[in-house]
Amino acid sequence: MITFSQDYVANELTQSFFTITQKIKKKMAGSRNATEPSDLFPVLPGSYLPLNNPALEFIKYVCKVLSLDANITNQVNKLRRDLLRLIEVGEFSDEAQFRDPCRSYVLPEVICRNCNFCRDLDLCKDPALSQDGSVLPSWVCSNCEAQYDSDSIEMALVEALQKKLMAFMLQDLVCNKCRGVKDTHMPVYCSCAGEFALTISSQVFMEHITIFQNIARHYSMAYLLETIEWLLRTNPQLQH
Amino acid sequence: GSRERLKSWRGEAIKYLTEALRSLSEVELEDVIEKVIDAVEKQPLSSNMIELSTVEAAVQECSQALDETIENVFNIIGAFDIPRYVYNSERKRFLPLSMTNLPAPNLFGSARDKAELFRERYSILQQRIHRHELFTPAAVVVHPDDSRSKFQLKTIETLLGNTSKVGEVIVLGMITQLKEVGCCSLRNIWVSSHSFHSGLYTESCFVLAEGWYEDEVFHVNAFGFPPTEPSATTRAFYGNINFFGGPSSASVKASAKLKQLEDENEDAMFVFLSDVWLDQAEVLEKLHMMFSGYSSAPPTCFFFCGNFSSAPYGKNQIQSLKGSLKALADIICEYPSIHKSSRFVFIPGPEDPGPGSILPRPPLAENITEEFRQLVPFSVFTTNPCRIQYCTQEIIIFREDLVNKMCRNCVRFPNSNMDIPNHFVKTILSQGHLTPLPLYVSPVYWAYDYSLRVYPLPDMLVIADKYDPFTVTNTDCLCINPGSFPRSGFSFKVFYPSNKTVEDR
Repeated sequence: MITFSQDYVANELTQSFFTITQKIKKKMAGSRNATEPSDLFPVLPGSYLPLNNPALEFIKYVCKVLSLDANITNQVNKLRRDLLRLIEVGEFSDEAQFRDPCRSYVLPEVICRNCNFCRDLDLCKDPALSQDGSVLPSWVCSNCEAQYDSDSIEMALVEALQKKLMAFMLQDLVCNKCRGVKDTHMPVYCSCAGEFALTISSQVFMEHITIFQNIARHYSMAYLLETIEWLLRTNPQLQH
Repeated sequence: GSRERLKSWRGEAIKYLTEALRSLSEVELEDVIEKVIDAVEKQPLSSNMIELSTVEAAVQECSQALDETIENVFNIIGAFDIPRYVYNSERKRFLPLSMTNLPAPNLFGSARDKAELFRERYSILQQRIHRHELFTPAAVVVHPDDSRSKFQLKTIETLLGNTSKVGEVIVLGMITQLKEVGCCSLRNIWVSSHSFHSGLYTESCFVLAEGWYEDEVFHVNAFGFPPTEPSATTRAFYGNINFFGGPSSASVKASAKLKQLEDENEDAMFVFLSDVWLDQAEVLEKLHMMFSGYSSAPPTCFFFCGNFSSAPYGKNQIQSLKGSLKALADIICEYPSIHKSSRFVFIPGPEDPGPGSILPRPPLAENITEEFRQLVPFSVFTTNPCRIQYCTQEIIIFREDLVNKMCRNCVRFPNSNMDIPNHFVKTILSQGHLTPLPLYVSPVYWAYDYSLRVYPLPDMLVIADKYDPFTVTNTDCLCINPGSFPRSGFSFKVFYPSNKTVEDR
């Protein structure tokens, strides 16, 4: 079995992937600018990476999946190397590293109003009803297939946002040098002459906000979107 | 005078001028005619007769100046639009942000912003106290006893340098909780049995401590609040800087024209209501009654403070609020005189939907208020707190159940020689800040703490609180609480700016 899969990967699979990759490269060039996301990639609630090279992404994901089987590691590595060479991307370069393209936000203990089934819902990764144009996408209970109430999920997200904001405002400051927590109000520097830093950085906060923004856009949550847009407007330094 | 100068004008030029100035009052007419004639004469003239085109240009020029004044009559200034002034202790001046090297404020501040928050609260008080006559040395000593009655205001740093006893000292410090008993750190004041002057001594407020210093311990005889400063005194020292905000380039107090407008407009009336629970039938009914009472003489402006729902929670909150606002819009439309002439200003309450209870709070989302604004075009949804400039008067409005919060966080509850509203008003005006409380009691976006300043003192401070209604005047500042509309028997307050009186309803 093992030799079979090793051979299979080394020969037939390699052949077909080469052909597919060449076809992709020819038909879908992606965007020229490496930092701008290409329109070819769908923007889903969990999207956050600037994906712009379809062939590259195809290679990365396919090889990542194959790498799950420890028996064919060598063959998969060779395949990956060769495919990357085909599209002129360095094997150890930054862009060749696999990154989960979907962010994750889990809303704990969502209760279905139909059957009272309770579960944790990953708003980005859990499959939503496919849009047929007239129906808004929403999430579905895994037990009884009834739709979750979008409004209550929106309010839950707003509440989560409020809690994060409050946590930021009330956070402790920590000294860069002695790692002591600041317990006074007025001094700008620590008694050890070190500078103070935030314990919850604004970067982390912004990541959460962007996830919420994607979710709000995708599921047409107008109120959440407006709240987030106000937060971003009043923080010009954090907008990208 | 004017007649003589108009002799060389063409007939059509004079006709044009008459038309253009038709809407002005008698008083304004004289003034404006002079101005227009001046402007005309300044222009290069091709002949002896004044042409129509010359007059047109001159009227244009003057009407721009007129418009400027009209624009300055009534302004609503949101908390995020207040100009940022930073006190510079070297130059002993307030500088606008653009003249400092500080960055523009962001909601998510840096670690430094958090410290600056308290330092600025402190420095504002310090500069004010230094200039107070209690602490400035007399230029000429009239009587030997006079010089002794002045106190020395010292900083704690200078005291710590002393090895001998220093007496008759006053220190400005912040009240914080002691971490360890017996420890005397820089900003902590060891509180033992002392006399406290009037006011609500909350944690994180700034106090003057009078006493003596010996062996690294400061012994306090009495605590008091920094003396308040009338806004006229502040302006006398700093000039006509527009600290308040709004389109005027200088302080509106300096405008004689606005003062005149203010005095003449005796019918101007502001109505203040708080906790306008639009989901309650009885509240809507009382609003009906109020509007019908005012329909013959529509007030200048209705100020409605939140909370706008008696049950501000649950997943239907947004939908429900939209519906309630629609109901209010329908009621207003039933009174066309009010719909046409009165303005409506909405200030959100602590439980209304928004990004949380951190101050300042943004206006209610446009998504929620869109329908209302279409039905009632003369309406504005603003921040909490917010500032109103009417002619020369400066009004600050803040919706918060502040009295109880401050009482609960008192280090020492006040003695009973004054009632609570008086203690409360004295505290706010003396601290020069709407929330002289720790951040965990009253969270504030660090870099926007300056928007909660009450300095220079406004003409009127409206604290919409669920505490019983009150009206208190202190240091030329009129402070009112309209009370909670549904909970105080549907009472509210009416303010007449021309004579600065308040009526209870």
